[in-house]
Amino acid sequence: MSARQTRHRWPAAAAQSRASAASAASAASAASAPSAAAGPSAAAPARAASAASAASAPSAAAVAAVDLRNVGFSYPHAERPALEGVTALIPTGGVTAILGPNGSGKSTLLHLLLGLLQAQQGSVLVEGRPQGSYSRRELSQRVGLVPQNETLVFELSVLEYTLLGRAPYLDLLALPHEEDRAVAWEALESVGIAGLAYRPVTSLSGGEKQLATVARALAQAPAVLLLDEPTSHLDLANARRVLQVMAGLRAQGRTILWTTHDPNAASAIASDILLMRQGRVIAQGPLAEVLTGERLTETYGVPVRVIDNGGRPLVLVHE
Amino acid sequence: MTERRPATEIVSRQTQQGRRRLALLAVALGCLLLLSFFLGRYPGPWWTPPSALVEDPLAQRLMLHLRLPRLLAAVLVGMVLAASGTCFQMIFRNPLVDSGFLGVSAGASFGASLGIVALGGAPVTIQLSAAIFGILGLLSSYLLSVRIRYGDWVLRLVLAGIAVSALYSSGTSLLKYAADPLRQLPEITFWMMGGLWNITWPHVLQILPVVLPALVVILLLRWRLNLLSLRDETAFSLGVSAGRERLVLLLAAVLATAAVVSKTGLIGWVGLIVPHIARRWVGSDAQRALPAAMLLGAFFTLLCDDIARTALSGELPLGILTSLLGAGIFMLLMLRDPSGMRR
Ligand SMILES: Nc1ncnc2c1ncn2[C@@H]1O[C@H](COP(=O)(O)OP(=O)(O)OP(=O)(O)O)[C@@H](O)[C@H]1O
Ligand SMILES: [Mg+2]
Repeated sequence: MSARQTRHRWPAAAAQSRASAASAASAASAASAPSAAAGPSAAAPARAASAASAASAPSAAAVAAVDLRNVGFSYPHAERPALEGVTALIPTGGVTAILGPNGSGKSTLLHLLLGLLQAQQGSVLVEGRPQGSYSRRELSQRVGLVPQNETLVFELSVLEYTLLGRAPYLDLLALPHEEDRAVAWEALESVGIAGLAYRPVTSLSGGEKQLATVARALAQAPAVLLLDEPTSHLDLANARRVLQVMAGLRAQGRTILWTTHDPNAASAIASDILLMRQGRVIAQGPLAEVLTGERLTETYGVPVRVIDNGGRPLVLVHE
Repeated sequence: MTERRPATEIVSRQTQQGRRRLALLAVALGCLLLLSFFLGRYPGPWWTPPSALVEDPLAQRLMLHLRLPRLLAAVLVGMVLAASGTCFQMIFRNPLVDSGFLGVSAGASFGASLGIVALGGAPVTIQLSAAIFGILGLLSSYLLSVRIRYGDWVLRLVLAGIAVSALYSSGTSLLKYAADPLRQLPEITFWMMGGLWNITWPHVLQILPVVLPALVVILLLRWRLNLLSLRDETAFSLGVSAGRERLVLLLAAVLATAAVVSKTGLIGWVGLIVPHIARRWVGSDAQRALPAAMLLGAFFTLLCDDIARTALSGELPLGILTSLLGAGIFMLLMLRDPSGMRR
């Protein structure tokens, strides 16, 4: 088996065992070595062992990638909280789409999961452990972000930009190794933009840039990938390409959490839906149960009809 | 089953070309250094023949005790200004800043003027006063910026830097106004135009303990500069402790700049223009762009200083030459390829 396959598979297998280990200190130290990218197969048994030794390990399937419990958050000087009583389970290995009107708190929620913002109430569990118990580096090895619009001031090439995704595995004074280059190159290939490797990111089209951002996040090899409106500026073809890449990631066992304003894009690849409105979760669950006309009407305040389109819901706004 | 690409192919074009160009720059700098050692206005107008080094005791003293430290100072100054400029541009996500803009240059000018006008004007006093006020300028910018209540940290620091620089500049103007127009005013003017004419070994040895560690820190952290040039959100998601890393790098850059400027006066445009040229030559990745900027900065400053000390029988102020050549090159670059100077 090639190294590539091994590497891409480990987040799924390792994530579950890692999640059930109450104290993953050994796993963390193994993962923080620069060689972790090279030797995931060596690191995985260590994690499995520590998982097995955990006293009351819940069944792997029961551990959610992210578990939000009654989370509240207010920006300083804000009139109303951006998030209020948010409780949600993001299943491991699923593609969860967050839908909700502008200002409903979607980006805030992602930033909270990233650790950029701290919950003021409630708790956030990542792979079964309180988010605060991870170090910055550990967390960045588990949770990656594709921001809504990445702006680069300097003309890094796509390959150099993708290499930055290796930062969580590199020591402060280290330069990227050949291994890191290989991982970055694989990430570029897996989103289909290896041909752009030497182009400056600043010269790419919106869609190409979005794919480069996804590649950078993939080089990070996070178990949980957050994407903030990854298709918002893209034309039909490019949006489809990004969605396909996301579907491919799901097949590799990564957990995906993304925000979108397009219910039909969500319908195309999501396994789960999280509906938000004014900082609260209105509904959460499997696609077919949540993406209904009634729920969407409640969320957006406009009449919405959902029809069946060959097994997938098709969302229409009617006058 | 996909085959993994051989590492050599991945290293490829960009990196290899970058490495070749870095090596080329290093060799060019070495050659210029050697050439500069024999360049001068003694005994003839342009050239000190190598034989003079053994035959002529005066030439020997001149070359070893005046010319050599001066050449080394030029190299250090160029490296510090270019490296600090690269740091500032990447950390502030703004290609139009250099390490002087946070009040350091204006503060140092004020300090030097104060030393000349009010503190007796001994060289040591001027240098010390310039160094102290350079750091004070930075401190006041920082303290002001944390009290500004709006904008993100970049905007706050830029605003504070502008305000503090303006304050110190007006102070300098006041001192110039009060200065003795025959004795003190020319000295202030000369200091502000910068130059290496009074550099001797003790000067070089005095700045070395600050400059060397600072350059080493910046060099070691150079790849992180790429991460710091990303938006906060992205840098955070990559596990970067942006606040701490920025602080370390900015401190190193500013301290080295203050140390250098206190000895040499203001030497314009090196910190601004050299990082641009370096990026165009070896790419924007700081892993290569930073060493390239340092070598190029050293080369450029050394070249300008060679002209400054040999072109006329009197000394030309170095700062004028670096500004003149720097701005000229800058314009040429902009005219030649607009895409290369994006933003
Ligand atoms: N930095 C901030 N300071 C103060 N309030 C903020 C800040 N960022 C967001 N908010 C407020 O928090 C609420 C949620 O914002 P958030 O960005 O999470 O919404 P969103 O669902 O991502 O919206 P959109 O779909 O427009 O991206 C909004 O009311 C917004 O005005
Ligand atoms: Mg948003």
